[in-house]
Amino acid sequence: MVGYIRQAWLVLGLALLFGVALAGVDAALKPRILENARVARIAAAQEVVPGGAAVTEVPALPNVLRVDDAQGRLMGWAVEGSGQGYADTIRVLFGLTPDGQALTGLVVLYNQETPGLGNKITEYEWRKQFLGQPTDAELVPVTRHSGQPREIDAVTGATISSQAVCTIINQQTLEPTPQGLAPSRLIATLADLAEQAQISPDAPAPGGRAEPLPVTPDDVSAYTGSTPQKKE
Amino acid sequence: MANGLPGPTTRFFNGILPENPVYRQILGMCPVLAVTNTMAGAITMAGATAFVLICANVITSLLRNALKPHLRILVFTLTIASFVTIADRTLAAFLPLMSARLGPYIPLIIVNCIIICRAEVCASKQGVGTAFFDAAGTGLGFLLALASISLVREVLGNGTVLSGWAGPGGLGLRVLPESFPTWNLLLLPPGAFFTLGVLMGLVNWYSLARKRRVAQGNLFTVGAEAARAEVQA
Repeated sequence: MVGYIRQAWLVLGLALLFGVALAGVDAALKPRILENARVARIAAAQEVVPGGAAVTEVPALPNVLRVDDAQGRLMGWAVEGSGQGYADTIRVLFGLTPDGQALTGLVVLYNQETPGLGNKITEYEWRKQFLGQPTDAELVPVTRHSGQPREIDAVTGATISSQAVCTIINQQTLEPTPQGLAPSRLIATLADLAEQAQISPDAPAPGGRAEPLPVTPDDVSAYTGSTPQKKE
Repeated sequence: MANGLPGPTTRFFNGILPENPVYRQILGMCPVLAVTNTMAGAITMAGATAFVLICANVITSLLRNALKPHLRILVFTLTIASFVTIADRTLAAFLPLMSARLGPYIPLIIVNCIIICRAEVCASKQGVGTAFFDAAGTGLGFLLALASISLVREVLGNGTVLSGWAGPGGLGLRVLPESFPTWNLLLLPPGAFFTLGVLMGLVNWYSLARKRRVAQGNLFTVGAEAARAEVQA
């Protein structure tokens, strides 16, 4: 034991010293890092709901952000979902209309899909297919498009990544029942909240505080790994 | 110089070209190939690496008399890993976009052999001053290498320099007209190999041409005798 310590005292001492130093660095920087992540989430929410300005949290729905325009009118919801991709978990944020009946946008917050194949799910050209898709039935990735709604062109050679994104959205919007798939409780709740907002449109957003516009769309594209989208 | 090892000035200038970590020692190829498609990313990577290099070299040099031969690599790795974590967290806090873009390559500095090489070759044997200048020179050499590779790749691949940092909306300063057909391939992984190969060839050609001039007596330098011998051999 004494011999062991005589050999290893430097390593042990350094490990202790560096451990304390790293704990200090982490404690000092953590608030800033968390704030950065929050700003990135708000920026993504503004991208997936067109016309969105103020973003607030929704009490009781931890994975949903409420998006209002500058006048405080409800423009839609940004819903976060995650699921297994080809290489690692994929996290996405997708936008819904106030009544939850259609998608308004999609960004990929985190992915480790194959560069050049699966990670094409971050590109605007692929993501824009989700705009306007109804949420009342499953989104299906297809390799040959037949012109039906709810069909998503799978990325060539990366059907697993494409399927994963569709599944993540389907799991949030639909629930299995004995009669088949039905709109999920989340959609029903959001529709209720939208109705309340219509009855008293001047009422402030429920819970949370309004967030100012923190970042530009260029920043969002940097977070989501896509090229800045061109307005069409 | 007492023990026959180069002094601080020699160490510093050696790191820049004669012993350039990328062009001469072919070390640290992972960041060289992975993050040189934009200049901003490459410079950030080189800055983080230089920070870790200097801190690790200074600490190692301070501890050099207490190092046990069979435990030294453990001490090097521990020191390097700690400073890499500090660099990684600092980037995440103050340059979140850059941190997101560089992704896993900042934590991967831990296994960058340039740093452990400097600890082994210089810092574990020489004083703090020499170790500092050695790290600074090597860091500068690494920065020059990454900046030169990324300059070629970004200009020809995207038509800009410093996208993400300068220019309108951070899109970069446009140096080639919009009509220039950009070589997208240079931004993709194969472009890193092509650029590295061509630039390394140019550096070798320049060094050889310089040695030849020295050998012919057109250029007088301290190393003339050695260069003459080398060319003849």
